Amino acid sequence: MPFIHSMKYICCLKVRKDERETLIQYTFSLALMKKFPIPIDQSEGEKDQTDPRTLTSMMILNLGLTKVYRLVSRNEVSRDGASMAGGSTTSDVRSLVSSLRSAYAATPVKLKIIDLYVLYALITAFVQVVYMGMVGSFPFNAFLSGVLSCVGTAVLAVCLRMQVNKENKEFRDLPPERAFADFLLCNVVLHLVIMNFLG
Amino acid sequence: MAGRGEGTNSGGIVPALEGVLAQMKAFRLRPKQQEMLIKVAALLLIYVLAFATRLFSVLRYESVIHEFDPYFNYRTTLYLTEKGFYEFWNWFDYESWYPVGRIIGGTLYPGLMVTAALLYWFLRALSFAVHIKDVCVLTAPFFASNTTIVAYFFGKELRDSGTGLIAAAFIAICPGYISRSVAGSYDNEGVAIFALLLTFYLFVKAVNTGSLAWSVASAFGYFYMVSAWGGYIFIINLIPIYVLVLLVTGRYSRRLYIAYNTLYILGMLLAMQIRFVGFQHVQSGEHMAAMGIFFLMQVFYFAEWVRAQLGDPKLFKAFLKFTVIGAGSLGVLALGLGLATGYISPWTGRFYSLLDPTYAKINIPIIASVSEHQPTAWSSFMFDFHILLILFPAGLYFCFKQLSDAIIFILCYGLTSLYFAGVMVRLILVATPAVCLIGAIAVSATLKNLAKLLREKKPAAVASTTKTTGKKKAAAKSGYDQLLPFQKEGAAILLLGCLYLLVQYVVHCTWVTSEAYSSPSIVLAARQSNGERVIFDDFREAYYWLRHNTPTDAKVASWWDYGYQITAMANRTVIVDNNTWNNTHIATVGRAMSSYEDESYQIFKSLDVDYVLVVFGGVTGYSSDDINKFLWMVRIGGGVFPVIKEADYLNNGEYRIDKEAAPKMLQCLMYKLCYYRFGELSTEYGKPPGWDRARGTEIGNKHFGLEYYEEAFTTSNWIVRIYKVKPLDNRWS
Repeated sequence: MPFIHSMKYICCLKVRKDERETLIQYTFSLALMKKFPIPIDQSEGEKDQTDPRTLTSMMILNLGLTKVYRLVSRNEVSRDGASMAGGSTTSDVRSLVSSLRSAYAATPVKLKIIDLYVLYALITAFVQVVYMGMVGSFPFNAFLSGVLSCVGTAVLAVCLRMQVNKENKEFRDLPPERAFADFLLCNVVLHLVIMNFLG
Repeated sequence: MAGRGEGTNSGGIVPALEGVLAQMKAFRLRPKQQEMLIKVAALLLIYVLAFATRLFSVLRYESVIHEFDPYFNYRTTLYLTEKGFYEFWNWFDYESWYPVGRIIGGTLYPGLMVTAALLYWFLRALSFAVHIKDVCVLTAPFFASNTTIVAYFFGKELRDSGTGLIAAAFIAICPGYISRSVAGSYDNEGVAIFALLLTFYLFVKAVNTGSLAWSVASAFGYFYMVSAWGGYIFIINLIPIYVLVLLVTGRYSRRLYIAYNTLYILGMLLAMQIRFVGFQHVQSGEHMAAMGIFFLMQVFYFAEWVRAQLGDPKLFKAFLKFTVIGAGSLGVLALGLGLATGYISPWTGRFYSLLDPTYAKINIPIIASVSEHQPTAWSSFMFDFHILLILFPAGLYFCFKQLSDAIIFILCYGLTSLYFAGVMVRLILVATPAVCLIGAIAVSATLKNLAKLLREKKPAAVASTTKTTGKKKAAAKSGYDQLLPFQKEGAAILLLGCLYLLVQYVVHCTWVTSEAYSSPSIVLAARQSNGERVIFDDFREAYYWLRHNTPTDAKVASWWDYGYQITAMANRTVIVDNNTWNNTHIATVGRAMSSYEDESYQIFKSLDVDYVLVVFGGVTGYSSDDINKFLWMVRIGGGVFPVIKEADYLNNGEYRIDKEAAPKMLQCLMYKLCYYRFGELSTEYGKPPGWDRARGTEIGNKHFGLEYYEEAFTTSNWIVRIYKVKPLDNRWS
């Protein structure tokens, strides 16, 4: 939704506060003029959108939203997160996600590959669970071995990730080759058992 | 062998030491090598000792399988070695639980049988012509020896190798363990304690190293445990408790994550290969703690990871709130849904009876009726642990002084298992390794401290003259030591006191083993007034009589205690046996035993019974006979069939068999079968005929006949009496 995007963009802009407000007001009026259906969260305190096309209601909405935004931005400044109203938590999540993303960008590629592998295994497990929900779990051992092989793979990969991560001081003595050999051994055991259990 | 325990040890070590000293002159062994040599020698002696002390039963009696359950294990092992693994796995047994039968392959823990069969095949492959019976008899001592080795390594992991050696020596002769692992006691526990300790050791090792390989090893240990004994429930609940304790105390580490998750996933998958366990790991309430902890670990790991990424505590706090609330509510929701839809079965009665000792007595008489399920008396703690009972709290003190992940594990293990040992007598067995290890920590720490005091005297004496000896630490120590008067003497006396206690322990253990725990219970021994030993071999006499004198398809009804022995030794079909899986069936037999003769006849005829077997101790004074067990038959029968009421068999709430006894008691089938023709027999000089020596009274109903049964066989000491159920009348009268 272009409206939200533009909002985000404005929030990220490093401008002075009053400038930002005028910008926002401008965007709002623009959006309303172009007759976008304004996606406003119910929790943001705006329930009065019966007729957004009339100019008066537009103006009221505009003012209200600006006020809400001010509140939010004040909270962002004080950053006293979770105990505040609903608006603050969304901003918290937003900042959380953004800072996580920036931090994650610094991770070595090898670890990122392992992360993808874990993610893939988990998604496969999830798909299997959903499939079980639709079709039923009749050969229960087959279902279990399918899901557990995925979960097991994921867990083992997470273990490998811990051991090869250079930041973890606990495993400084453990060479990555040894860690990988252990990982292979575990996987062999896991999948031999799975094959036996598949039925 | 009294006193030989420590005797062999020190007797072995002293020559070894001398030999080492002599060698040192020749080869110049370094102190490290000497230490190694002494350690290996001591461990070897402990290994042999653990095996040897369990052979009392063979010396006193003969190489024979003991008690009740081992007979079933023996029978299945025999079947396994004769027919092969697949036949064994698919075995449907027509000879027990007639007419229902029992799927044996799917309802037993095969670990013990497979182990014994492998040992047997291995020895055969080496062309040792052993009999499978002897392999079975010696399996438990062999595994007890292996347990000492595991205990050594566990102790080493906990503290140091000295602790390991002492723990190995303790566990080698601890009566709590010997009671279940003497030669001939061919039961699951004999192997399972080894597996239990092995799993714990490997898990602790995995937690200490954070290595995937050790975790896989512990998963295999767990698999072996699952295949061997139902007590694996203890492991799958103790380890989550331990993990939770670590999480709560802020000792979460990545090593813990690796060890626990690998053990859980692989161990669970491996355990599912045992058919008797099957899907229980995902379906039964007893295993849900482990699963909950598994998910909790994932959440914890994720939170930890996010924290490492963020570096901002406030943001992290907000994040933690989301995840904790989300994960917690999700978990509770899933558990509630699972329980509500019946997908996750609630806890079983056995589990409840562990948590709440009074539960079984109220709800499940069949569990409460077994003597080894009774709460433990203080005296039996003392009997089974001896000085370990005193050393345990001391060991706890030393544990708390030096906390580490491994020590916390042994603390969790020791405290929980000691509680369970208090709930059930047989679970003393599970507590034994923990008590031995913690006791060993106490002894090792004390001995080390005392020896240090003794040894430091010399530098201290030098220091007192010169006042300036080298190292800072030694100076500080000796300066402190100088304040104590008679320090060396005091230390020596304390050391001697410790040694005295340990010698007492050895003497006690050997005595208990030889006197109390080596009785096979199918061969009974008693002492006559002139001190001579009499052997009552009535059980085997009766079973061989059945084997040789009854048709091969005859069905024998007896109380369930004797079911396994009858199928194994007499090779006849039984109605109920010690695998108490069908309560109604047992209650039917209980009802028949406590009914009048004509009613019981109808019940037995409906079950196709040909022979009825009762065990009677009135002549010999054997107290665990059917008359003493009779009230449990009434209770179990009455639990299913309300016709049977316990009050009918009691006189003013008192259970008696003399003239004051309740009329129904004097007329019921059990009474009649036990006391048939007993009124004519004088058992003791100076007492009237019909004097019951087991209960010390004269019986109340002496002269009666049997209408529907006829006496088929009574053993020489009247311990087993077998009756034939008469065929139906030719015409209705």
